[in-house]
Order: sequence, then C-alpha cells, then structure tokens
Amino acid sequence: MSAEVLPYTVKPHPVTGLYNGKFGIWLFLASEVMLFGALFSTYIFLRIGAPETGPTAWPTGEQTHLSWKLGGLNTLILILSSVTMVMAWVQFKMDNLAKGRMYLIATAVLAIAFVAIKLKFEYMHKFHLGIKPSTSVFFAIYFTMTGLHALHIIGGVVVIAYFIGPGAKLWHENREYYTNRIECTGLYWHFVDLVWIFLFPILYLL
Amino acid sequence: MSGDHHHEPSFIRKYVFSVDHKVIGIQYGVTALCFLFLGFCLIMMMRWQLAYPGETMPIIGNLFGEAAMPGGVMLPEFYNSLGAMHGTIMIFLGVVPLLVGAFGNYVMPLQIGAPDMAFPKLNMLSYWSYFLGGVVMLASFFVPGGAANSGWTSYPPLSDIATTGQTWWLFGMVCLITSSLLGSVNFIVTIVQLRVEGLTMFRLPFFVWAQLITSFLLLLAFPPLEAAGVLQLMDRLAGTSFFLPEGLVVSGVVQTQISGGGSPILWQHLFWFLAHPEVYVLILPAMGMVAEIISINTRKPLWGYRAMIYSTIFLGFMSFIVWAHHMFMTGMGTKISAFFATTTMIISIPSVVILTAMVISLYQGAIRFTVPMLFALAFLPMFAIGGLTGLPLGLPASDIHLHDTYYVIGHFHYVVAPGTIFAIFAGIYHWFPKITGRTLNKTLGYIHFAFSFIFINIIFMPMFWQGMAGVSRRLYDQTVYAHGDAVQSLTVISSWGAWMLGLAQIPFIINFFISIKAGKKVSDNPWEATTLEWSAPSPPPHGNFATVPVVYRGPYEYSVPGASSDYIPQHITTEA
Amino acid sequence: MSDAHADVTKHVKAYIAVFTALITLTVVTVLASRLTVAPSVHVAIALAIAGFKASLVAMIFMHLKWERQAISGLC
Repeated sequence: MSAEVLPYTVKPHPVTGLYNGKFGIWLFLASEVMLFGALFSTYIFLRIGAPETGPTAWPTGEQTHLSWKLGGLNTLILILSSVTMVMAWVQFKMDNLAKGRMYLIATAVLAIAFVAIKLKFEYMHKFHLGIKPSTSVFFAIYFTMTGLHALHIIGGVVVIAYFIGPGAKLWHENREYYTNRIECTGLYWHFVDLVWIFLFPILYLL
Repeated sequence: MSGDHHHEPSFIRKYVFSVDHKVIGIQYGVTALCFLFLGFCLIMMMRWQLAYPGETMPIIGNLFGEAAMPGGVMLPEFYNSLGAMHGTIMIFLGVVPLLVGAFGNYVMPLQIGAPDMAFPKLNMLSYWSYFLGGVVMLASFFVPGGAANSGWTSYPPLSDIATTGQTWWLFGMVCLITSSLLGSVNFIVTIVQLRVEGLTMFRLPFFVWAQLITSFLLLLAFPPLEAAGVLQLMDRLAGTSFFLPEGLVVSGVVQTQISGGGSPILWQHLFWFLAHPEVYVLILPAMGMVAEIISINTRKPLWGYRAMIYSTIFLGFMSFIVWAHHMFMTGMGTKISAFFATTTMIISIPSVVILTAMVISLYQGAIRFTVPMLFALAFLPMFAIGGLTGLPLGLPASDIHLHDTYYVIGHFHYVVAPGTIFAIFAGIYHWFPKITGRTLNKTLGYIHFAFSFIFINIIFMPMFWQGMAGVSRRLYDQTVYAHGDAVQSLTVISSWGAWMLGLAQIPFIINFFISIKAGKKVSDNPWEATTLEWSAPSPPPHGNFATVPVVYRGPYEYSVPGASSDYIPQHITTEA
Repeated sequence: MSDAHADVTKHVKAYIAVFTALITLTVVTVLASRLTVAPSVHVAIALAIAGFKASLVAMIFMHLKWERQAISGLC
C-alpha cells in the first residue's frame, strides 16, 4: 500500500492539523512518558522507603560516586544535539539538503559522544571501583535508568544514521515526506533530551 | 486499484508478510484461536489433578515425561507452570489478540471506510512481534525447570528466584508489549485520521469507539509493566534487589548475597497499574461487538448510544485509578484502601450504564434469534454475574475473607469466559460471512451455543461456593485441608464441566473448517446491517472499497418511521 | 512555501534563545544544589528548574507552541 492511497501520510488532516506520522509519534511518546514515569515512580517509592541509616540507606553526595561534572557535560551535549536536530529540520524545510545533512551528522556525533562519555568515564569508572548494579538499590536504579536512556539514544542514532544515508533517497522522491520524517525523529530526540533533563538532577544532584 | 494488476504480489508478500489489514487480522485471529485452544487444554489437564489428586491421568498421562508427570501423575511444579501459562496464554496470547488484533484489525478500518490502517508496515510488525512473543512463551516449556511457574501475576520474591522459565516469560512479555504498543498507536491514528467524509465521531459505530478507548488503555497501561519487567529482569540477571527486601529468607536461609532495600509491593503496584486497565481491554471491545450484534438483530437503534460512549470514556479514565483494589491485603492503611474502594464503586457505574443500555435496546425489538445474537444475549447476564460478584471484592471488609479464593477465580472468569469469549464467538459467527463470503452452519451453531452455555456455567458457578468455603486459588490439592476436602465434590463437578465444554467445541471446529470451503454463499450484507463494512464486497478486495464511500447518517438507522426498508445504510443519501 | 520559509526563520531565533536558557538553567541547577538548605527545598528547586527546562523543550523544540490546531482539534 503506497503513500498515494492512504490519506494524510504527508499532508496534514484538515481538522487535527497533523499528518499521520506526527500523530503516531506523539502517541508513542505518550507511552514513553508512562514507561519513564513508572521508573521515576520506582525511584521515588524506593527512596522514600529507604531507612535513614544502615546498609540500605540512600546514598547522597560523595557516597554516590557520581561526578556532576561529567553529568553536566553530558547535559550540555544533549541540549546542543537537540538544537542541531531542530536546525536540521529547519534546513530541510528551506529545501537545503546539504546543510540539513550536516546538522544531522552533528547530532549523531554529539549523541555518540554522550554515549562514549557515559560508558568510558562513568560506567567503567564505577566498575573499577567494584560498583555494580547489584551493589545497592541506588546503583540498581542508576544503571537501569541511565542504561535504558542510553539505549534510547543509541536507537535515535540508528534512525538518524538511516536518514543521513539510505533514507535520504526519499528526499529526491518526496521532499515534504522526508522533512516530515525528520520532524518525527526530532520529536523523539527532544523527548530523550527531556528525560535526561530530569535524570540529571535526581541522580547527580539530589 | 485496477492499475496494480500487472504486479501481483508474491505468495509470501500476500499471505505471510502482508501489510493488508484484513490478512493481518486473519493471521491474528487464527494464531490467537490456536492459543485460546492451547490455553484451554492446559486447564483441562489441571482440572484432572484438581478433581482426582494424585491419580494417573488417563490416555495422555504418559506423554509428558518423567520431569513433568512421572507415572502419569502431575508434579506440583508442572501444575504451577500450567497454571501460570494458562493465565498468560489466555489473556495476552488469546483473548486480547482476538479482540483487538483480529476483530479490531479486520473490522475497524472497514467500518470507518478506510483503505487500510494508517501504518500498514507497523501493523505487520505488530503481528510478528506478537508471534515471536508467543513462540518464546511456548519455547519456555522446554527449558530446564519448565515454563514460568510463579502465576500469571509473577509476584516477587518468588518470581525473582524462580527457574529460568520466568526469564523467558519476561522476554516474551516484552515482545507482546511491543506488539500491543505498535497496534494501539496504529488504531488511534487510523480512527482519528482516516474516517471517510461525513463519518463524524458521533456517527461511528460503538465498536469503533470501544476500540479507540481500548487502544488508549493499551498505549498507556502497558509501559509500566514493561518498566516492571525490565526491573525484574535486572533482579534476575544482574542481581539487583528492586523487589527484594533486606534479610530475605528463602527456605530457612537468609539471603546474604543480595543488597536488599527493595520491596515486593513495588511489583504489585506496577503490575496492577497495567493489569486493571487490562481488564477493561478484555471487556470493552467485547461490549462493542455485542452492541453491534444486538442493534442489528433487534432491528432497532442502540438505546443510549451517546451515554454508552461517554460511559466508555469515563470507564477508560477511571480504570487507571482503581488498581490497588487488588492489594487490600498488603496493609496499605485504611485511608488508601478507602480511596481505592470508593473509585472501585464509582467505576461500576459506567459498566452498569452500558449493560443497561444494551438490555433496554432489546425492549420491543423484533428480535432475530440468529446464532451470533444468542451468544450476544448470553453475554449480558453472564457479564452481569461477573460484574456484580466483583463488588464484594472491591470492598476491603468483604475482600479480606474472599481474597485469593476460588470466589475471585469464579468472578473474573465470568467476566472473561462466558462474557468476553462468548462475545468473541458472537463476533466470529457475525463477521464470518464478511471474511469468507460464506455463512457458518446454523444447526451446528445452535448446538455449539446450547452446550457451551450449559457447561460453562457448570464450571464456574460452583467456584463461588468453593471460594466462600475458604478454598484458596492455585492449590495443587485442596483435599489435604479439611475445609477443602468438604467441598471437593464441587471441584469434581467443575472439572467435568470443563471437559464437557471441550467436547462442546467440536461442532464449532467442524463448522468452522467446513464452512470456509463449503458454507452457504451469502450476499454482501446478509444481516441487513447499516454500517460501512457491509457495503464492501465479501471478502473485501485489497483497498477495501471500489469507490470511497461518503457517510450521511448515524450507525444504527433501523426501523426508521416512514422509510421503505427497515434499515438505511450509512452511505445512502436518500431513502429509496 | 514562502510562507513556511518566513515561519521557520522566525523559529530559529526562538531555538537559539531556548538553547541559551537551557544552558544557563543547567548551571543554575548545579549551583543551587550546593546551597545549604533543607533537603525538601533542594528537591523543590531542582524539580522546578527541570520542569521549566522540560516545558521549554516541549513548547519550542517539539513545536507544541505552534500546534494549537492539533490540541484544540483533538480535545
């Protein structure tokens, strides 16, 4: 079934003002909110339930072995990647494939830098100190939430790489369709950024 | 579509990796019916152990090997696996895929006049993700220790320390959650964006509304279970303690290798946050199908159509704030218990509104007692019994006595088995002519209905007495307790009911396969119905409608005063 | 299409403004975490800043500000 037969694959619906893809990605993000919402709730549930003292007390400050500098750097990287992502869409919207592609590449590079810092300087550092997810509930939730977030980043990189490479074929067939897809990718990407905006303070600062 | 004839898709593209919503609907339907049958076989085996504990199972007892049934006698561990997998298969692989994947996929786009779903490839992916989940679940029977055996609810700490089957169960669930996520996004976008001209939201058949709300429930309720599944996987594979408290004792030994600090109650919250909306996922599409069938076979508009829709929306919303009524026994405190008891009482109101509207729809109707109508009519009292017996469970004071007894089993099975599964049968008999162009045999249909109705009540009615006598669910052998032994005769009755129900399905199975090839050929609109799917050819071709229909009226214009015919289809402009 | 062009160039200014705001707020939230106040105040400050940052991302980067039609059309 091709794009011509199904209505509103490219053009927005007159009442909702959305093309199908954008509507779909927003619904998907709603379910993502519930996924991360459940994990944030778990964090709150476990933290409130933790005793004041003893081996299962919640660690703060130095005890967490988390570096706010690295976390902060990663925050800046993700914010910057959100800007490059949205700029890529602007360029495609203005019919500039070459510039748009440059911004997409910049986004992918920043995303890879984020994951590299996360793995090389944060996870590896913890493993060297003998800290594993099983060490305490704090590290369990730290590794689970940041790990799941990192998987989302990697997923996003795969999609962006597809649109830089083979996916760009669509640009020559249907520019609007391609630009729409970049917009949907962007929505997902900003959402991943948004999750990190909450993860950073609750894990590194509080 | 005539221009497409020169490149006819290959067999694989057409029937295996098809993107056509009708083929995917049939794939879902056939797979899910197989799983439904399998889930039923599991329980028929368990019913032997329950009725005649410790006795050799006749005929098939020796087929399962020494690890599961030495000498034809079921081991407790195998019994637990069967129990957990019966629940999982019936709910996640049988009923929901039938209601949403099969009927939703096949009928909904036709009812809104769409050529296909909004995202045909996602639709295909959704089916194959479901299929993979099913394969993982089946494969788990063959891993060391057998399939998951911590119940379909997988409560920790037991599930955290259970055999490998539990890990497979979790991976299988992740596949199934992905499938329903893709499906629900697709359904919502399709219903909102792809309706044909003139088909406003309040001209949609009630079935489409039910699918819309159901999709929202699937979309928003499943992710917390996915999160919980990830946490449990971490507990099982990475040794974390999300659900394990400090100083946990297993078989008299304090577990020192775990860090502790987690809580088993956390799982219950996350699990029931999914599983209560899931109950409405199981019932809303069934109500949708019953409503369609009732309106067509009474030749009357649905009574209170708008009230039913508003009730459904309210029901969907409320279903997210009742989950802890499954957890009154965890010591949440009186204030929280009172809150959830109150919301539970409130949520029963919209269900009653919908049910009442359907009953009133019958009043003064010229009822046609067709086979689908009989199943639909049976749905009404059966669902009512299921719903009303739920009220004592929603009140903490009475729940303390009834919690985790056979009363609970009887309650939710009345909702899901003679309720939802009867609605599914009604749907099969009703839409079979649209899917195949042929009708199922009536006589076999009547036989199927009559015996199913009798035996399904013989199974579940005794459970209420058993439960009130204090018999706990999931017992391997209730006769070891004096209070259980006293009501063992009820278990035997129940078991015989189950096996007889199995036999009662034979006429249906024969009917189903013979009618595909040799059933009586019928017109495109054999029930004289008004909704759009009946204006398409039977079976509808790729792309569904020859010309895109335009809608001029509401979905249930039957017996309109002054009209020449007793029904006016939605796409007809003026009365001819 | 000229209409759309004018539209997106207007957007770019907003993107740069949001970018600066997000960077500033990240610095602010780190600094705020070093104040000596009660833990509950820390939580309140951190969540307020994170919430504000998140709404900036949602409104501007995710274009919710310009999706009036979708929001009113669906509700």
